[in-house]
This record gives sequence, structure tokens and C-alpha cells, in this order.
Amino acid sequence: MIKIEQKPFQEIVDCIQVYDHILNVGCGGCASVCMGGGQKEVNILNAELEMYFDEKGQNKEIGSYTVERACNMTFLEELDEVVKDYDCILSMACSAGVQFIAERFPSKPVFPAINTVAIGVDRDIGLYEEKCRACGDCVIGYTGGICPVTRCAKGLFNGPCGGTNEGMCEVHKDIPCAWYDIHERLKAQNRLEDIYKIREPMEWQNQVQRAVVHPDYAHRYMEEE
Amino acid sequence: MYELLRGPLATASFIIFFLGIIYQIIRFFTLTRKYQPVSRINGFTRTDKKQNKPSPAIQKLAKRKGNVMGMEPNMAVITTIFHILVIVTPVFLLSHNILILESWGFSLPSFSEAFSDFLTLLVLAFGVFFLYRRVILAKVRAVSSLSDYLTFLVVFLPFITGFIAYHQFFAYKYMIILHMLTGEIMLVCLPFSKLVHMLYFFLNRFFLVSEYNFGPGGRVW
Amino acid sequence: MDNNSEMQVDTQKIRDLINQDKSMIKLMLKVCAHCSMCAESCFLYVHSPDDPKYIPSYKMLNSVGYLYKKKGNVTWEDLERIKEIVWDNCVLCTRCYCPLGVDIPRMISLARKICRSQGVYKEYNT
Repeated sequence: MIKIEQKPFQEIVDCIQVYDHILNVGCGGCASVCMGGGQKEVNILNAELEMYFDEKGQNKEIGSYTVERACNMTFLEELDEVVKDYDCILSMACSAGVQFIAERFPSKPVFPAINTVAIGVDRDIGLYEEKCRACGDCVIGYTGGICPVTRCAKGLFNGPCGGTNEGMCEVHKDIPCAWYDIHERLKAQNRLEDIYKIREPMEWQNQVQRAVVHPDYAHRYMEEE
Repeated sequence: MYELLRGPLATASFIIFFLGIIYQIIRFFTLTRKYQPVSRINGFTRTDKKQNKPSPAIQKLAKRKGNVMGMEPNMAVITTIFHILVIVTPVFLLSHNILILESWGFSLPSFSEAFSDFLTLLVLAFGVFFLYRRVILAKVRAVSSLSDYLTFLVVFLPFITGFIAYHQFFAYKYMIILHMLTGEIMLVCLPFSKLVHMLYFFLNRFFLVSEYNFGPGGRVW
Repeated sequence: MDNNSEMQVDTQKIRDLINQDKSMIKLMLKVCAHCSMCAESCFLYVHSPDDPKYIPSYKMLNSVGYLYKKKGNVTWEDLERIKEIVWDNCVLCTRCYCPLGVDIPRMISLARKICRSQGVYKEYNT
């Protein structure tokens, strides 16, 4: 799922300080699961902001509402009535959801309260690891299930660089070298030939906004060729 | 009847109670397993970025808003005090300690009788609150069933009958028998009904890994 | 869903799935004190406070609790009803609070697993 992290408090304050009626929108999907933007975080942030502004002598009304998922317009419909009473929207959904909110309410300023960090996994409670960069051309079938785009600092496709140091990356001593792990994993599976072939470097497909069209629905959105 | 309840049945119910508790503790530790937290973080944590926060005082107060104290403060406070009292009141009761001294040769310290009286009344008042909650609040009614009301009786009848018996309001002989009977029923039922949450509150919330646990937690199902 | 009316619910499979975790399920259903303190931790309930169907303990008791009590002997109507509870009334945001430490998301996902084993699951294109 998408993993997020709350923005520095001052940054959030700077965004919203000129507005008096702010709606904080949380998300019950990825944001909730990584404990970054669910109902509980919305309540806590609202309390912090209210107390902060009270100390500064500014009276702000900060409302809260948590939608099921901000990445689906049908779940944002329930915001239509709520949003009318507010000057701006602060959202703790992931940036994709925040953009959808901004699209639905183009006349209201919309601010993210979080930074979207990664497509990642739940390693342990409160610990989330990035696993995927959404490059659009997955090669982990050849690399033993380890993504060289995400895990290799240089995004190499054909083995480690000269800086690999006893299984660790030269960028930081605590970061394991992806290609060392790939080699070990494939060796254990007897599939080292997969990485002996030279592979073309990744042609990054994330330079322009992408859209995914499910083949069953292609007829709805694309012209017949 | 009195002799039966005072003697062998009392001992039997205590034995069943303690054995039941031990059984449930063992069950917890066999159903869960030790959990090793990760020893290494794979990846960059953005420690260079100043994750600045509001003042600690604000943070502390705000955190309360997100947890149960913010959501249902009345219930949180009342249920905590109630659960402490439901154990403390009978354990440090003078009458009970005299009986234990007579039977088993030791006793625990006791509160003054007036204070114990006051505590009993508190417990009963909280009981009324819980009953109100269960009957009036729609959200509690939705998950309530006959067993909840029976459990309510099992827990509060010993307190009611004990209170009436102590003050000798009426029919002392029957009240005291009823008190001992209901108390022994409660002891016997405890490890095998929803009252076992007395134990599992501590087991689950201290030992399991969870967002809501107290302490690090080192076990998972 | 036409094929469902011709096939029987595979109650043995449901029982097998329950038996894998039987002790834990039995214990958690017993430990649940029916206190409803989990209600306010569910944002769906907070939006519709008069509707008990979003209370986490209600969802658990009427999905896994029902399957357990019935020992897997359920009908397709039961499964459809449970499907609604665990997919429409719950997003598995895993933030349910239980003062007694009952792992409600685990129970909901177990109910989903049982439904899926019978070919009953939420379809996003309807």
C-alpha cells in the first residue's frame, strides 16, 4: 500500500494560517493502515492545530471528516455538503487522494498535511518499507523477487557497482546491497542464469502522467483501431 | 446449607477459580508465540528532514483526543475505577478477612467497614451506569444478548446481597446464604465466561504487538 | 452468481478454515465483553452514529461469530449477508480499538477468507 508521513508541523501551519475555517479530511485506506492519516491522526492533528492557534490568539474552526477512500470519487460525494462551511481543505490522504479532492472542489484551496513516500509493505508495526517505484516495467521475475529499481541506489540492472561492500551499499553502511541479495536469492534457487544475461537499462515510464486502462473496458475509453 | 456453602463449596469454588485462571493463562501462552521485532531498518529514514512538531504540552493533550479518552471519556474513567473497585472491595473487606483467617489462618489488611460500605455503594452506582448503557444506548444494545444481562446479575448480585446482609435490612439468614451462593457462582463462572476479560485485558494489552498495547509487546497469535 | 444457486455451500471447507484457528476464535469471541467501546474508533460508525452495523464488535460477532456458532452450516443468504458486513461495512483500515485487545481486523479478514473460499467476494465492477 501507499505509505505516507506527516509533514513538519510548521509547514502545515504556514499553509493554513490565513484561513479561519479549515476542514481536515482523512482517509480510511492506505493512510489509515500506516497510521499516517486516518481518523485518529486527523483528530490529533486538529487538536494540535487548535491549541497552537489558541496560543497565538487566533480563533480557527477546524473540522474533521474521514472518507473511506479519497482515491474514488464516489466516496468523496459525501464531502459535498460538508465542504460548504469551510474556506479551505487540509487533507491527510495520500497525494493522489488530495489531488482528487482538489479536482472535486476546484474553488477551494486544498493542502496536503502529509508527504507521500512510497509504495511499500508493513514490515512491522509502525515500520514501513518502500518496495516499489512504479516504474511500469517490472523485472523482479528475473531478479529473484527483489526490485533493483527501488533497492539499488543507482538503479543498476546488471549486477552491483564497485562500491558494494560486504553485502552493504556504499551509500550507507546499514543499507543492504540489492544486487548482493539478488545474487544470494537466485543462487539458493539455482537460477543465476537469469542475471547473467545483459539487460537493457530501465526505460523510465514515469515521465508523463500514466493511465491504466483495463482491457475489458478499453472499448469505453479508447477508439476502435 | 450455610455450612455447605461456608465450607466445602467455598473451597471448591476457589479451587475451580484458580485452576480456571491458570488454565486460561497457559492457553494464552500456547496460542501465541514469541515475536522477534525486526533488527534492522532496510532503507533510508528521513532523519535529516526536521520533523518539527508543536510543543510537547500540546502534543500530549492532543494525543488524548485521538484515543479512548477523547472518544468516550466517561466510560473510560468509570470502567477503570469500577474494575479496580470490583476486586479491591471484596479482597480488603473485614468480614471476608475474618472468615479467611478462621479457615486458612492468614488474612489480608482490611478497610474500615464504613469505607467498604462506601466502596460497595460506588460499585452499585457504577452498575446502574453500566445497566443504563446496556439498555439505553443503541450502540451497546446492538451487541447485547441474554448472556450479557446474566453476567451483569452474576457480578452484581454478590454486591447487592452482601450489602443487604451486612446492614441486616431484612431476612439476614437468607441474604447471607444468597450472598455466598452468588459469590461462589461468580468465582466459578469467571474463568469460563466473558468475565475472563479480567485476565485477558492484561494478557492481550501487555503482551501482544498492537497499536493499542501498553509496553513493547512480544507475542503474536 | 448463478452458479451459486446450483452448488451447495461447502460447509466442511468453512469448518476446516475455522478449525485452523479455532481456539483463538473461540477465545476472542468469549473475551469480547460487548462493551462497544470500539465504536468510536471506526470512522464509518462516527459518520452514522445511529447505525450499529458499523460497530467493529458487531461486525465481528455477526460474521465470524455467526460462522463459528453455526459451525459452518450456513446458507448462501447468510454468506451474502456476511459479505455485506465484511466488505461494505468495513474497509479493513485496521484501526479498531479494543480495550481487551481483541484483534478485530484479524477476525474480519478471516471472515473474508471464508467467504472467498466459497466464491463469495466483493466485485468492484457492479
